[in-house]
Amino acid sequence: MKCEEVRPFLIELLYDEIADEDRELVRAHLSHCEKCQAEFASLKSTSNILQKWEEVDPQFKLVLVTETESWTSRLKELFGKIIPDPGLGLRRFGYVLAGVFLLLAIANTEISYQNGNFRIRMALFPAKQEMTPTGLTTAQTEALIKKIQQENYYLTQSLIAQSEARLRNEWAASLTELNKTYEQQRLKDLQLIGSGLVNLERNTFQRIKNTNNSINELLRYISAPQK
Amino acid sequence: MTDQDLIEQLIAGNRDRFNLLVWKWEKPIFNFALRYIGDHDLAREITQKTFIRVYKNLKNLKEASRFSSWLYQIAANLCKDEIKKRSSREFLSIDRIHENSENGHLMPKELIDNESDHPDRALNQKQIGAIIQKALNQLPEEQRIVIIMKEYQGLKFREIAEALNEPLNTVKSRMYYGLNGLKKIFEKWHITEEVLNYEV
Repeated sequence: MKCEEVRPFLIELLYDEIADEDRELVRAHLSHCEKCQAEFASLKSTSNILQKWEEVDPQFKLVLVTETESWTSRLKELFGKIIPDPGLGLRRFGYVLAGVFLLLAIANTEISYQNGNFRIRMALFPAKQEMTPTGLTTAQTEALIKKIQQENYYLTQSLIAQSEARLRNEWAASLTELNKTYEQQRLKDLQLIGSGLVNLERNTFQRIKNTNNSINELLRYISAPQK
Repeated sequence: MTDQDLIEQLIAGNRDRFNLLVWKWEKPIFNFALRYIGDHDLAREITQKTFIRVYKNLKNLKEASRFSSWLYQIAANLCKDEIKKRSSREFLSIDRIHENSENGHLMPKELIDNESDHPDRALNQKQIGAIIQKALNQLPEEQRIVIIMKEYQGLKFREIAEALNEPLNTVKSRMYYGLNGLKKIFEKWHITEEVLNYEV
């Protein structure tokens, strides 16, 4: 191959997109042609420089279409992956199981757990009320408890009412006593004030009388002829 | 789940599959637009427009296996439209290429800044990106797009030819001339692999 013929293949070789048969021919030429070797090295070096420019993160997230899938289809898809299609046999088994449960329901089946034991009971009719140790049925016991609770409630209510009335009366008596004491004290005070005023009047009158006498005496002394 | 599976489910009516498709491809398309256009906001806009166009025209996609070529074709067309729109304005960052006073070579500003401010510090990724973008912007557009699709998007030459609707040999030829053009630019700027690896 001549150098002119090799050149178009250098780019293919650089990016590893060269056909196998061409690769051998180009390699063979490069092994003895320094000029083409230098050109290939130069192309590679330029490509390496370009590779120094790294990709950048766009720093955004486009959302162009909103989800329209329904939640049921998503649920189906999710569980479809976890639980594969059971197939006809398993599906039939499921129907039979459902039927059995329906029959159990119709047969008034009761399943209970007590002290580590399961008890299964089936009957044509719903179970009768069980008797309690007092000889009463559960319903009667419940009614009795309800009655007692109601009586207790009324009794408590009446006790509270009585206590309130007693307290009210005590308060009323205390207030009456206080009022009476206050009235007595007020009367005493008024009497004291009254007697005080009488004394004050009397004293004042006596003083005015004395003053009057003194003035009359003085006038008489002034009006008497001088000897 | 492959693109083909997602597209088949999407066409079958499972519309939310489109989001999965978008999340898978938004980063490559954004980076493609960013390298081609050189503007973060525009790249984002083009990414969004690309997927809107994909959604609208998905029924026209004849072969789901050729989705990536078709996707890049849409993105490339949108980028080209954007370049046309901006052709009257300043598009390339050539104005920021400064003349190096020492030897008269043209050099990107990032390289000069780094040389004067921190002569012993390696170029950071932002500076490397700016330098390579400037070098790419000096190539003819048809070579630039082929190089971006090949080097950064990792497309096969066949896929690039499909996306650009060009003959396969034309694509290879553009790649060859593009790389040679870049080589000359990098030589002019004294940029080698070692420069980018270690220090200026």
